[in-house]
Amino acid sequence: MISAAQKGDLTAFNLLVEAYQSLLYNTAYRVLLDGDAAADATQDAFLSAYRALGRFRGGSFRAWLLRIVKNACYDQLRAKKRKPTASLDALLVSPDGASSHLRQRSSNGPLQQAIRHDLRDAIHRGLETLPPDQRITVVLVDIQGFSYQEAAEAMAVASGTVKSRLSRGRARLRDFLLTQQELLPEKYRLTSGG
Amino acid sequence: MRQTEHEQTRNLLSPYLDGEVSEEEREQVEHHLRTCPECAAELAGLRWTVGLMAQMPAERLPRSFVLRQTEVEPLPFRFRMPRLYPLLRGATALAALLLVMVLTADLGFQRRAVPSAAPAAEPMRAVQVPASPEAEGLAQEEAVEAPDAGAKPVVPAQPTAQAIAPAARSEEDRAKAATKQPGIAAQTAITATGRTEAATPAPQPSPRHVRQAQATSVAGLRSGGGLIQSPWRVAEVTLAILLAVLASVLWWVGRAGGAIS
Repeated sequence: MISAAQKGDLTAFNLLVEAYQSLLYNTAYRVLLDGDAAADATQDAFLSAYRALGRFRGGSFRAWLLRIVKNACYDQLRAKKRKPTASLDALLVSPDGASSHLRQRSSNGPLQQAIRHDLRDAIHRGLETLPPDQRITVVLVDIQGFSYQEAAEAMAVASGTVKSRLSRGRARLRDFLLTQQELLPEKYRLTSGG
Repeated sequence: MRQTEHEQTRNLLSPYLDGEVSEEEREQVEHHLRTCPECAAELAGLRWTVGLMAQMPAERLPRSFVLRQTEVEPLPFRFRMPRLYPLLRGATALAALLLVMVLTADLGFQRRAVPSAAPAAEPMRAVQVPASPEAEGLAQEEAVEAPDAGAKPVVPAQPTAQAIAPAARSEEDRAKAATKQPGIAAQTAITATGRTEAATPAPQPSPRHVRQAQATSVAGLRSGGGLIQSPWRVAEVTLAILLAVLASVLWWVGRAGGAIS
């Protein structure tokens, strides 16, 4: 599939798009914490990937793709710096008033969704407290399930760098989430002591 | 001592979770954990954080990111490098202009320096000469014609200088060929001249004038005993080559919208 796409076959490339778009979009979303920006970054990344496909020389394809989307994310972050919009506001407001449901201990369905929505919000807010390098590392390894090696490839850094960024990023996120525990559904709370 | 070990272990907790530690480090961590509740709590906290992230629901795609053909086609050169394209055209026009000036100056000097009469033998040969350079020059005419209308009137004069070198060489061949196959040679001359006239409707120097100029130029060449006997020649050749290159690039780029990345 990749070699067919490398010859310039757009249809073949689009098969790759369909296979990897969720990964790219999710990563971009967690890094940028903004749906529109994430969509832009994903679009840019796929376009760049199509044009640069000839330069892919084997190795982990998804790491290669992730590197491209990481760069696209950095571009978005830089653009955002020039015109600061309060992305934090977008996160703090839970549009469907999910938290109110938590008071009632009803069973699954919309509640489950609401619970997970709260978790997602909390983690996103936590991610936002991280500097971009740590944020990307945490997203790649802990959310997208990359190995240290693959993450190193995607970020074009040494494995040791991944290790330290991950360590610091996780610690910071943990500290944030600990302060937010009351907002989290009970099953997600850390039982104190241990 | 304990402090550094404590610090060390703290830094190892995260990779320890992932099994990304050496055997030695693993033992160190586990040994330390038995006696340090602080580190144990830290580890539990990390484990909890990682666990939460693993439970994160995936974001739903807002749309498909499949690429469309139109998105993917490279922009035509003139849009991708808007500053470069007019520059290219300008350079081509300038090269053409310079070539004209050099040629004119060259011919001007040549005429003044003309020996009393071109060798009597020349005019005969010279008749055939217009056929070849003009025929050879046709290809060039077409190449230059496209981008810059301003260059048109100049075109007929161009092949003159350019083809003189090959003409000088081929003249003898043609002379030989002429004696062998007079019919074909004559035909070529007629067809070539016919084509030339059709191709250049713009005002052109009269054939006689051209022939005379060519005769004297050829004479000059011959007596000089070499192709590059003056800086004029060098300039003409250089400019002509430059012009041909620029014109071809311009034509190719303008036509194909070539993706120069």
